[in-house]
Amino acid sequence: MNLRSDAVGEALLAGLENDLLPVAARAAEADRTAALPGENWDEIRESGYLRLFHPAALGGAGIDGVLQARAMEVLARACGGTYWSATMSTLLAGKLVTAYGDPAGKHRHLIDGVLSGERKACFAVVEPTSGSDPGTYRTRVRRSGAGYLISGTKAKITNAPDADLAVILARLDEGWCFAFVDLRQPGVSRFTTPTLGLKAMPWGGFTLDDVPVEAQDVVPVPYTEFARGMAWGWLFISVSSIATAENALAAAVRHATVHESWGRPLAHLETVGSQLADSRAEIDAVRLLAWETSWHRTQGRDVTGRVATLKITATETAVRVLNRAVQIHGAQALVSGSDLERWYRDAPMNVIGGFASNRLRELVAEQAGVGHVPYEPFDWLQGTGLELDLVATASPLVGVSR
Amino acid sequence: MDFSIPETSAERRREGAGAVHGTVPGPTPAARRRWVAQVSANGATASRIPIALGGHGRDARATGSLLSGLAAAVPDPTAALAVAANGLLVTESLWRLGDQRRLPAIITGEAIGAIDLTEADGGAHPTGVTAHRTGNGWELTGSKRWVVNAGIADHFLLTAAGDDGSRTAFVIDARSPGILTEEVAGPGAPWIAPVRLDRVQVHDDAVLGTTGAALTELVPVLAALDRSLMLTVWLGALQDLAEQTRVLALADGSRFGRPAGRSQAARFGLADLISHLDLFSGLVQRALWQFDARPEALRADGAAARLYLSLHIDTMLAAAGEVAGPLPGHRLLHVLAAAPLLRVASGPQITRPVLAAAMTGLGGSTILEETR
Repeated sequence: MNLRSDAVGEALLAGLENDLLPVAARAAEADRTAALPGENWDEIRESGYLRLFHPAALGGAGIDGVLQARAMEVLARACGGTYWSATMSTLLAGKLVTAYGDPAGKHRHLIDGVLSGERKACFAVVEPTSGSDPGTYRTRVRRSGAGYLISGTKAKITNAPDADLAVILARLDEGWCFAFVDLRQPGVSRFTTPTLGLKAMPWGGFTLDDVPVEAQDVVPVPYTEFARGMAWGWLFISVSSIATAENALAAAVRHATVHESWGRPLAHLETVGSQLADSRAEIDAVRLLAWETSWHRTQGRDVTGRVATLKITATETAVRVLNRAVQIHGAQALVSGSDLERWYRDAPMNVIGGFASNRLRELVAEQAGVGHVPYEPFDWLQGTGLELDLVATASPLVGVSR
Repeated sequence: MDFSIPETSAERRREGAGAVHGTVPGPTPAARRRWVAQVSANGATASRIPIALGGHGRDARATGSLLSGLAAAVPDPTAALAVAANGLLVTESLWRLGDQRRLPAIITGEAIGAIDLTEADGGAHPTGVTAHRTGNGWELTGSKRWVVNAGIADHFLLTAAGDDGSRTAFVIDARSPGILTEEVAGPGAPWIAPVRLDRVQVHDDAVLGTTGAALTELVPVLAALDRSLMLTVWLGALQDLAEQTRVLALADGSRFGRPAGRSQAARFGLADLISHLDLFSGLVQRALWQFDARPEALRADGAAARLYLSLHIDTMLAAAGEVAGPLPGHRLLHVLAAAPLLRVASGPQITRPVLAAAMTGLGGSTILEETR
């Protein structure tokens, strides 16, 4: 490990932070109106943020994984909802196109559109009936002439209400595929779903009714590829949590050093200092893991298990940090419309979004080599005697009771 | 920034395991002394010391790999702690504070040192021993509760309070008249025991560093070690615990006729154990890098590493227990017994205010940029 940073990287981050000041200034209003301001997308495009996660050969910035993670944190600290929308498009959907498509050839126009910001992309997996159980997914691609038609409904998708391009997990014959679908065509109807937090993020779904897809845009994949692809998502969701936690901790430090109680700033109270310290230690731990996994991932290594670990711990850490920040702010935290309120609603979104912790702990255990556990009916108590109640029975002995 | 793992890292870990050579210390004081001396002689003590002084001249990261490898190979973390207290706390202090007289025999393992763990807490912990000036030396009286290698060491590194309240560090002959090691049960026993000093007479040359300057000369060395290299003992022990837990999860014989690993509680526990270990390891690696490259950041960031372990070790051990059930492996029993030692020195009572001070600028401390 070498944590020395270079001047070029620091300048890039400082420039990005400066470019995104207006986005940060609009964060509260974007949350209140539950809409992503159009200017935000323009400023994201102009800042070059959308190019940071891709190699120079594809028009990207070609920077290392640590710098990528740090740049993500800059935008995520400015506005969580905007961060989700932009990073979902360029990092998750963009990486799926480059990993499973033909980025240098047939799909170059898709990459160009996503990296310039002319196209916004989404990744559509979940359907209205269920979460991560693929057995319930109905969306299907079927052959039609030289190409395909796709039909089905996807839900709980970031960017679904306004995306131009969707990477869709769908059934193909007896297996699965990723379909790169142009959403700006007839047969696509969209809906928006209100959220608990990250309210500036467009969220919802769409129904596809025999929407045409070109043959080159349908890529058969085994279902296991789904988790590998999602690992990019877990990384950016983790950074979202780290940023939310860091915002809350910075606010707590500010409040504790400025707000006076019993004649002195709050930070003189031992418990307040301890809560700040615990948050510092836990945020540092997950940030280091985010940097490390991002670094390895951009070096081409499969670190799916460790990114799953990161997603669990970073998102749950942020919830703990937010709770401590609320304690330190006291009644001020209960006033509606504050930054703290927004982050408090944002934090749990990350715990569930892109695979809940429960599902990921299963995956970490699997990666540790203890095998896969199929979901079984809960019938293990049957026949053990433990399912029975105590019942009145006549003892064969006489004169012992009472 | 760079997160590559040096190719020599695995080699150092093997070397650490090799220093133990599959041996387990015997129960008697003489057997324990032989074991610490042998493991120390096998390279556990010389790692950090410059080549010109007879050491291996390795940086903190290489030494950390060696120590975690060593700790993973010793079932009882307290035994590994005994090696590290001698090889790091005592040896690094003698080297940094310029004690050339005792250092050579310590490096080779011919002599071993004892030290109270709470010395790293500096002025936050009462010294327990007073030092009065005599004609050509000092008279030391009092007691230390958490002395590692008590009763088996040649040298005893301790601080004592002078008449003016200032603290002075001494390295004294551990067999001097008036020194008594008490046998008590408790965390770390028998490696860690109370030592009483009854009017122990020492010469002026027993003073380590400057008279009255232990808090500024010795304590920063011990605190930095506690927040970096000493943590590799716990890292190695917990890495081995995680591996043993993983193996147990594959074994048959749990409830409802299923292997332990089929229980979702056990699987989630294993996931939590692995997760916390990965996070703790990252903080330790950062501290080891800072030890060499950015020591001024270690005060807060090393405290964060130590605090993280204090905050989450209970979860990690409970998780291992969830898998192991009523028949835990020996490693879990040993780690459970040793875990309270994390509260003896550099515990949350120390690391929390140190971190809070670095974040708020209170507590007589400066704000560290790295903590932002």
